[in-house]
Amino acid sequence: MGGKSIYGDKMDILKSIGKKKSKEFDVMKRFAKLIEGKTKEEIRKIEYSLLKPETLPPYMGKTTAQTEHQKRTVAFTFKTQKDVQKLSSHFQVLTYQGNNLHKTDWLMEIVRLLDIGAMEWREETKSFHILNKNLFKKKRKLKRRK
Amino acid sequence: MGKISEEIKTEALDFIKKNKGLKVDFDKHYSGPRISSEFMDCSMPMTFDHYSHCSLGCTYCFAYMFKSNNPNFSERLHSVDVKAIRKGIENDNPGGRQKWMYENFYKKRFLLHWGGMADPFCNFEKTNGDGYKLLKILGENAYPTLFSFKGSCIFRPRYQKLFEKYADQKNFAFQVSIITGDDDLARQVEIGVPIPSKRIKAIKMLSDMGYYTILRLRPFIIGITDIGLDELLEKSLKAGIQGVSMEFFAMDSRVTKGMIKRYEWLAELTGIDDIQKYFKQLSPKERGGYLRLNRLVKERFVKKVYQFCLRHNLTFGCSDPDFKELNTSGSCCAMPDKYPDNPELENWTKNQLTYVLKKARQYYHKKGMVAKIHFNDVFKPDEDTYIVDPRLANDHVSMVAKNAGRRFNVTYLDIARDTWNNLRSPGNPRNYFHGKMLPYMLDPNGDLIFKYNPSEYEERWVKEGINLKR
Repeated sequence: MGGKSIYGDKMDILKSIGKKKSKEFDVMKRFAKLIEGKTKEEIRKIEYSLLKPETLPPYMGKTTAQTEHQKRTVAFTFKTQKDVQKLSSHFQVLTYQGNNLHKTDWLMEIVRLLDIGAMEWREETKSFHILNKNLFKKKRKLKRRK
Repeated sequence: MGKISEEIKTEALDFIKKNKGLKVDFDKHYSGPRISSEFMDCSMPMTFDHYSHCSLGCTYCFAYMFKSNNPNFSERLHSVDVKAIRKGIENDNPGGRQKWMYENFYKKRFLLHWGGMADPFCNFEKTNGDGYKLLKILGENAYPTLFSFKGSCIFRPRYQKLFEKYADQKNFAFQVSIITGDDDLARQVEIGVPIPSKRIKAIKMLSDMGYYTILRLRPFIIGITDIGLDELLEKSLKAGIQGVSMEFFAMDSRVTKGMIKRYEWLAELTGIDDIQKYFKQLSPKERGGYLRLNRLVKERFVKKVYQFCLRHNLTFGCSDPDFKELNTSGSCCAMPDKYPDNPELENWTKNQLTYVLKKARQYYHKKGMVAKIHFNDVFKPDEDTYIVDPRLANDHVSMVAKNAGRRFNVTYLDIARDTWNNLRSPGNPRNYFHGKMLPYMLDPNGDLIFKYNPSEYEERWVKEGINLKR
């Protein structure tokens, strides 16, 4: 904690304590009175009904772009190997399994991408186009109906 | 009640009998030292056990929970490679893990914590004696070491002689774990473990030799530890303790059949009707499946121990995520900030959240201002080189089920950054300290800045005349 990271917000704190005081102060005061002369079984019951965890205030500000949840590894399917090579020039590829599933599909694992199910390279826009995530599920369903 | 008690005792005693005289299996070595999975708020991340498991039958044991949930766990006993560790400590051409440890820790004479998941002086040590060989190496090198224990092997003459021999160096410190001062009650919970009065004798023996000793009130079990707490504190003080470290019992929601029985037994002793329901109701959900009770339930016990430490000028340590800000040193194991008798015992890291929270609490109570905490001010790769060493982080619990490419490229700094910025993670400071640090905004690097959040109890305690500036 260097000097730059600590600076005062005195008013904020006074306000926040004022808000908390009414609820928790009363609970603890009540609890202290209720447990006087009680057995431990009775005290556990009072704790159970009275001392519930405080509710945390929500954080409404900005979060960082990449969380662990977003960075989780996902499987991608591509039409050609060229698409795979293009992708690996843009993103870090950690494991390349190279399984040829259906002659034109390629399975690989990459990191640092958002939650995307499938995509393809489009020359006209020079970018990856995101396909419908449930594309393959839908195909399977259609086959069953037939 | 009788039936459960008998079942638990029989199981634990069978375990002890089965393990009596168990010899080390030399087909492979147990890996150590390792980095603590709680490195984000741990002052001694280099933690060590010399056997793969422990011979004691404590019914609350968290290591039992972790190991009984681990499908790779083997009942065969393995010990660390003593020769390899000697090479590491003495820099005698070490290889593998010992080389990594030398580069990141031994070279800097960083404090070694011995007794993280098992007991250094349990019955396995009586039979095998590998720990004795290691003690000699540590003593000869005057290497700073903290022991956490409750086993009785330390009373054996050759161990006593060894500790007496190195007493002048004062490179050793000891934490003695006691959960109740009542011998009869302890016998029902800690089966096959030396009774508390014997452990107090161990504190006395080591304190008389001149070593720094700590009463380790861990796990503090509400309904057990609070009975006769004043007496236990007084007895420990008389025996010579210089610090107290506490942490409350937490319940793992991933239970095995063995654990359910143990939980039921603890519930009966503590006066809880349904222990799973009790812990689920009273534990903040933000902390995930390792259920830790909330701050309000613990407050009266922490207050008592904190005030006792202030009165007797002892170091107060709280390893629990709640009340962590009350630590009077930056180490929640109650190691001192300053120890002039051997400054190497101060050689634990300050680049962790326990130290930061303590400073933030002092800053608020001394100056009335709130600290803003930046990621780069907490984790400093220049000082703690281990956090950027990719050879060390692949066995961290968060790397389970990750592919090899990710596991062997990740560092502890990456894990810390992910946890710091992921508000869904149980380890995120907002969730883990349950609102003691609140996210405030992003810094230019895209990392969250947290604010110290003074609690209502702090104002109440100050009004009662309790010093929160220490």
